[in-house]
Amino acid sequence: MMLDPVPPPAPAPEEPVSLHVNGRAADISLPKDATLLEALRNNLGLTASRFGCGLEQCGACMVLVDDQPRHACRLVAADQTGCMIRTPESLAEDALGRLLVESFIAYQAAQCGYCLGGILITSYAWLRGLKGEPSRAEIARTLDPHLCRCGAHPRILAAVAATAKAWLDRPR
Amino acid sequence: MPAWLTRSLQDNPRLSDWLSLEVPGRVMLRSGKVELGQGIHTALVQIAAEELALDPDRFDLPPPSTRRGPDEWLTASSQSVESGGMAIRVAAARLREAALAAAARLLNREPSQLNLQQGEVLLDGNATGHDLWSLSVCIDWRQDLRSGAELKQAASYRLVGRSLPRRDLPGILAGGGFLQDLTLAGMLHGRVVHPPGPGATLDSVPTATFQKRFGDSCRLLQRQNFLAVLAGNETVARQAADFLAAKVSWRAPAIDIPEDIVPWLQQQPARLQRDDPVVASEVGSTLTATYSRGFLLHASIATSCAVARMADDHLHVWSHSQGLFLLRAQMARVLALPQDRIVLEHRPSAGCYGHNGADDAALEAGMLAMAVPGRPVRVLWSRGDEMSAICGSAMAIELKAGLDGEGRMTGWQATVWSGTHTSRPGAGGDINLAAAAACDPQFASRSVVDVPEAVGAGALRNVIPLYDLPAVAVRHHQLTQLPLRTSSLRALGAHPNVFAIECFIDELAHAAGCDPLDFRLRHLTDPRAINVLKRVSEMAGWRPDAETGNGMAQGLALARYKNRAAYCAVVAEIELAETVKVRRVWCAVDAGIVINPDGARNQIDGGIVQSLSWCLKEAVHSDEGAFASLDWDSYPILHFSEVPEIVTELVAPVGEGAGEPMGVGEVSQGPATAAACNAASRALGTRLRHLPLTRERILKAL
Repeated sequence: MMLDPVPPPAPAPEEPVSLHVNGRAADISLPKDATLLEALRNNLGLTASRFGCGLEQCGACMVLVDDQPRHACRLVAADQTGCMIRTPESLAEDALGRLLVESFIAYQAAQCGYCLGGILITSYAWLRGLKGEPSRAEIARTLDPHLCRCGAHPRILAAVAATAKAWLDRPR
Repeated sequence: MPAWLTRSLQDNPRLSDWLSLEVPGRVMLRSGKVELGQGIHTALVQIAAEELALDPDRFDLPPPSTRRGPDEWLTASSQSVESGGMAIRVAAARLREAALAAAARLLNREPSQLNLQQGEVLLDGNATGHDLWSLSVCIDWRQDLRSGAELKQAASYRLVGRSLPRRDLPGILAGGGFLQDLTLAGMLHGRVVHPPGPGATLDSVPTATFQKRFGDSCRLLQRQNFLAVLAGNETVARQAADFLAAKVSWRAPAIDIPEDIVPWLQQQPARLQRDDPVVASEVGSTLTATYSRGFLLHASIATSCAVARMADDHLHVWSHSQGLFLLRAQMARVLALPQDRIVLEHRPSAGCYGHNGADDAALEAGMLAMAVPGRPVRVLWSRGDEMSAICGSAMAIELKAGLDGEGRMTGWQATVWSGTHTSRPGAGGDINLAAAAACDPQFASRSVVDVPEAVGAGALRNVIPLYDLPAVAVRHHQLTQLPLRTSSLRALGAHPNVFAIECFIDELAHAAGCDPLDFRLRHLTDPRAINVLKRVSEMAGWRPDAETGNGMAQGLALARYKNRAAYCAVVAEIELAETVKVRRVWCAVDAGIVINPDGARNQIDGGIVQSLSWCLKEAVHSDEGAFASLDWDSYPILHFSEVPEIVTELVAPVGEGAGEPMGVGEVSQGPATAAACNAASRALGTRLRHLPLTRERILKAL
């Protein structure tokens, strides 16, 4: 049983879009209404932001837009011109980001790990503004926009708490 | 049959099925068990590294593929360490023996004078110039492993029992690692417009409107009730599928799932699958209670995906299926291709908890790829597709037990109403792939079978209590015409059965005027069950006379998964207001020899969190005759703020079989739900018997 063969689809019309992602300018071309998530993954190869629902409900696609966590799955890429976008890949480039990733490894804070890109982004944005040592409940509230189905929550909370402590105690 | 002669080994008995030495300094380990987020590949490498006395970093473990094998059937039922791990252990031990025997011949020594360290053959601690790789040509790679090997003694383990970090985590954190990330040159994007439920037929397709809107940039593919689009760009494919989904009309059987599910389940068409003669309890009083769970969704964070390419008369499919060989056999039937012209290769998706949409997506990608030969096609599902594809069956369980004047149970009777817990590809001789049935009614599923009791059972998994009972009778109504497609979801029937049994045991304890812990201990003789139960009660500070004021209470539960695998006891502490809040959970598990304790605790804790989500929040619902649990708002799961603190301890195994490893992936689901429900019932002063424990149910009980 087979489908009837079809000619491969022709390329769709695309428009040029200038983005600023992870500290670099990115000039790409996209179909109308392409989402930021599609642009990041398909045009720029930045796959740490992941598709989970396309409904801004699970947080797997969270990125920073001008330092604020935003769901990339519903943002129209072309509307983000002039914004500074950061994806989880950029965390390797600064001290807090590296500390956070190291904590996730130290606590083995994952099962499948699919939700982690978004969780790292929200944690990072929150830790940057941290004033004092947070309670478990505060960290949990911060991460409530994110879903995890494997039940890695206790480890994720512990990893973020450890990062918070290390970040507050860092030599300055 | 010795414990090490597992199914994985029997089906794949050659040394070369498991190990090869292709790159100097490295060992290629093969497994048919796929990574589902459970960390299995880390544990399997540990097992091989232990027997070969070689650093785990020197092993490569490629993603399982049908091209090469081994064929280990399914990655399911918590069998990967028990069955697959054992096979690898024997294979690695045999490779060590074979290498040492070969070196002994070359050196004119006895093998017992030599040993293997980091791949090098040593004589009295000194290098001999021989190593695994130089000896490879002297080894008979076809040798049969079913005669066994001299396995390392547990007392000398250096790697097994250590919490090595996951091999795949750094790559995942860096942004890769998933099937969804696979991009091939010239790849097209497919989307399937799925029917609203099983048995739905396409009424009309707005072909002309579609053509006008998308032109040549998107192809529409249809065959009977199968409808898909294909575009060069993912954005266009998504927009085209959304456009079509909004405009096509379906004729679909109504889906009406009531909240009060017990009478509904009892009225569904059914086959009496098991009907034990009932031994009436002769003494004392009889208690009866009925428990239920609704339909549950896998609700993985990713949506199902597959990539396929038809080239040189071969179809290559990258899939997150749990059973690549089972899937290949059915895809071959549907696509009319010989099996040896289909290669299925695994890539991980997000967490997999049973038979989800992976297999369906693989066939869809294969069908689309065959319509555009030479071009790779990626299929990705929408969130709604993912939620509505396959459920874990709802179940109703009626329990009846006798109590004598001394507070001992005199007999037990369980009656179960349930849909099937397996409709995997090939089950019951059916293809069981949604796209096949949509294209051609001859491919529709005809039979309804469940997992045979000999391999752990489906609806009847854990239906027999672990307690000492003079008589147990089981009746099983296999529901045959449910409006939803049901199949394997983590723990299968063990979750509802353990929930029902352990809540009913609390009811019996109460009727006997006995503390739930004492009542359980009074009916237990299995030392390993007693051990975990006592340990968890110590961890939690369980007190029979605990005040249950202020809405706080503890609840207890115990199970041995499948009545033959790992033991798990749980205490949950809850706070009851209008909703149930689980504050803390203690868990004690005896899983025999544990390969990677941190990995095991991760699985157990994750099982507890998922189980509490099922217990407190989850059940499929319908609205106006249609499936209505299509996203995270309409099917909420536990949020970070609702996750309790969990303390899990792996207790030292005692007694018979203590030296064997037992899987832990499904051990905690049943006990966690039961413990939370027992705690809530205790706090409430009235018994809760139906899941989920929603605010509405609590208010009604109040």
